[in-house]
Amino acid sequence: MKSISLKKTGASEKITAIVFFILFVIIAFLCIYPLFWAFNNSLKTFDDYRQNSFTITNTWSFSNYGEVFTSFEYDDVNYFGMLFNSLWVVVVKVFVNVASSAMLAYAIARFRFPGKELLYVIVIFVNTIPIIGSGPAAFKLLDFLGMVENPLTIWISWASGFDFAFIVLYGYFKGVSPAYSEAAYIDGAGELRTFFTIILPQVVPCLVAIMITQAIGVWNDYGTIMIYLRESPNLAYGLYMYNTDSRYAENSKPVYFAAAVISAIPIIILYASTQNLILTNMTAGGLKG
Amino acid sequence: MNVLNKKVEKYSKFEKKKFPFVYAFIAFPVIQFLIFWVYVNFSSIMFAFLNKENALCFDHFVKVFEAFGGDTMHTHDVNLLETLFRSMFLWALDFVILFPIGVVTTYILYRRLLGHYIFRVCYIIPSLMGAVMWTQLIRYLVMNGGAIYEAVKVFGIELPTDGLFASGKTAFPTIIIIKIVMGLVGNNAVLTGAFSRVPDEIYESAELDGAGFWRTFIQIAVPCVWSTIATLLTFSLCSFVTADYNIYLFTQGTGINGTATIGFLLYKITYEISKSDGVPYYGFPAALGLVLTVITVPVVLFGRKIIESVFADVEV
Repeated sequence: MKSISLKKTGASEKITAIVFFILFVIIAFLCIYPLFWAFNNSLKTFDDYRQNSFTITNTWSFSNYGEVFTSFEYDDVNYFGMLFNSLWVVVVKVFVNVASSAMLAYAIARFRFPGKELLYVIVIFVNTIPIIGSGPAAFKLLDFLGMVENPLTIWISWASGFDFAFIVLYGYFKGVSPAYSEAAYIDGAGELRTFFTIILPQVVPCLVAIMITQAIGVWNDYGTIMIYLRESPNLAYGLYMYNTDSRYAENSKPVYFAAAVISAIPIIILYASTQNLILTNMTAGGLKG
Repeated sequence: MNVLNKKVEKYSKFEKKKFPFVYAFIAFPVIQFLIFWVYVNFSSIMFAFLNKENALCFDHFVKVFEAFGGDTMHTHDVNLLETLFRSMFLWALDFVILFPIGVVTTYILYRRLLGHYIFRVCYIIPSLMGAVMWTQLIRYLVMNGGAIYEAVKVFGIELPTDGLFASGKTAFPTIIIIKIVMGLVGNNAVLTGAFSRVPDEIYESAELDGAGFWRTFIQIAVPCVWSTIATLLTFSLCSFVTADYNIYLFTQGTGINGTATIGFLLYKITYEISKSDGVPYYGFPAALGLVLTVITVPVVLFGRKIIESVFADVEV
């Protein structure tokens, strides 16, 4: 397929390419400017920052980055503690959610059994009909079950298989030819072995794409932590509280910006290196024709 | 899967042999769902109808309707009716304007416009940085002396001295503008995935037939990915009043100056309950949720009907 090009001879296509190129450049600038601004101020001393936060730094004070690891903390949890909390929440939440969705999607997509249609209708209902205001009831249940502020058990509440990951995986499992599993059965493989060694490897790109997309959201999720895991602040929640809590001094702003930049870097690298994988493997709904 | 009209055939011996495996495989997700979705929603409905002595009452609904009438006692000083309209406005902005533009811009990026790879990385940066950092940085930029504040002042517009979020006149318009600018460029992974699954030969034959860029887009690309567009639209209908809770961050959890949305309010109420030392009041948020569900479900069903009629042959 030909790409849309600024050098096209067709007038309408050339104008389209130029107009959108200009629009895209402006919006790209608006998207990266706040990050650049934060990075610029993370290199300033507090006096420089207070004087004018919009001039290019001339102090190049990288010591702020060192201070992130030595003095940046919220509620006695330091940067490494927050980083650890971010990491375990991402790994556990993404794994249990995708595993639960994959099990449900595999069973519904590949087998006939009583209740299959009902389960499919329920997944669609849950994802397309809004049931509003159950947050307080969910908190009450988790509190009753002792899951609030309990990293060892709260993961059970995250393991929902009835969400968007199901929709994507259902399509992929359906798309794997039945011939593969039939050949595996003939060779004597059981159901579990067929799933793990034959079917799952064929949907790995899709699984990875879902996991990375979810990981980005969970890495930045302050809402769940703010309600259920305040004593285990992750980077998103810690950064928010550090910036809003009056106990933390205004003169530490450049350190705050340094912490913000450091926190964004791993996830930006992760996305940049896996962009094509995500964009070619995430799809929902079929193709017509 | 047309489950309603399908006649269930008898199961073969081979299929029956697999039942134990299948039920063992779905046991965990189904039990998890029964506890954390079915029970939670059922108990939420019960809270709406029960008083502290667990007797049937409609007091919570009376309070909800009082809140719609302007009583802000249970809504953290935000006007409920205005908040609902604000949520609907933001949702309509997303659904009617930004989503279609997003389809166009996603397609243009998919067609590898010069710099497409860099653009994609740039556009995802706000999501990668996360709502917390992104909104905090935007807050600095719209403060008095901030880059956006100063840029707007150049046009001679009179602005509040404490920044754009400090006044009812400028706070919500600022949020709308940020939403439009950030939503103009689509970088939708699901849509890009769908575009990339359309065989190149289809585009190439259209181009050989002399179809230009827009004709290829409208008559080839969009019809081919209709089902994906319909799926995304149907899912976004579900976020009718619950989206935009990140406004919590713009106003530091206060929702002042006419910025609160229903998503914000429901999150705020849950957060306050989680912090509460005494006996939390579950009745009001449960009744509010039920009333909002009753308001939104017909709208969502109507929206789905329209989507299904426009996008015929779509399986969602």
